[in-house]
Amino acid sequence: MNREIKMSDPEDIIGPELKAWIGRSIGRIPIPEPISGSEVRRYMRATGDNNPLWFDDDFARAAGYRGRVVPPMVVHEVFRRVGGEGGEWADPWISLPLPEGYTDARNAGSESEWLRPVYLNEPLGVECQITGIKARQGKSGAVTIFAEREERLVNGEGETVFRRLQTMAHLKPQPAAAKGAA
Amino acid sequence: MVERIEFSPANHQGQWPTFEEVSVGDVVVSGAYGSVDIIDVVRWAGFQENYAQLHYDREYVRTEAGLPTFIASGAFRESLMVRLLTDWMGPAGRLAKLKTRQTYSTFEGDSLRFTGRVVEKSQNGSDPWLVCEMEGFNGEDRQILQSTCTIRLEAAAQADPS
Repeated sequence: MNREIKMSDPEDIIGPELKAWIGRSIGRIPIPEPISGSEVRRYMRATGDNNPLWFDDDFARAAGYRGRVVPPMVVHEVFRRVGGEGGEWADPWISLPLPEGYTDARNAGSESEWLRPVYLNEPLGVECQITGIKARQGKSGAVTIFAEREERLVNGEGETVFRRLQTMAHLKPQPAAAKGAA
Repeated sequence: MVERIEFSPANHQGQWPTFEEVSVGDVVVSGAYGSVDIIDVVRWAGFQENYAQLHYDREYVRTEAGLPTFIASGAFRESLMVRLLTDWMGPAGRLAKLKTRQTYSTFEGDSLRFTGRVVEKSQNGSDPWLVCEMEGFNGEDRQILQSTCTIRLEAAAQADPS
């Protein structure tokens, strides 16, 4: 007799404790210090991006800016200052109450929008909210948990200068073998 | 180590594209970087303040993540791609939106190559946006990321709306 084997819904792995994190926000946390020239220099040394818009006030003014601007991908990473290891806001970033064994996390993707130029030494604040937690079963049968958060960067005038929807994939490490997925 | 591409206005001789010159189908980015090494990822970790061992600790990733060696940060790869795009668009260009799906990891020793072309263009010169589709590949031509970017090519002196 054929017996149908019914797989459980991958979403079952998301229990009520984890689900309760959807909608949590951190309020607005000022970044510890404004973005400095030395930070942009370290970005340049990591990427080779020596565009004069990031380093030369006169060049940037000729292009219509108030002065040298912060590179878009530096703005993109400011969230680490309050949400990274040891940051003021640690929990929604790295401490979701995941099921046992989900110790590995990867950047699964993001959707970013730069709304206004950001200049050196501008005071900035970070807002963030967990917007969704989903589970999906891959071809291997392993279930990955995807956590989405919306992040906003706000300037001293209260204007949102940047926003991003970030998806993190939480995985159970697989035995050492071939190269893994992103 | 990833190749350091030199940029200077002199290299471009002021020849950045204008909104009028760009057409749907134009290639906007086609650039390659050398293999990623530990110096690259440590430089990035120091800038990004991301000390996750996944991105630099070979022993940790082998024992804890089941991977053969460390992987580059997704944001590092995006930055290398965006850098090619901002070099192309020049000072009157502005990155407005970026949607990225990270599709495969970049491991120590992997090289990176990015390509992109214009897929949509505003019909209104006073609202000068372009949509570009970008892809990243490793040295084995396996796709590592897929992005859709919206950029604005303003006339000079209109870059900052504030």
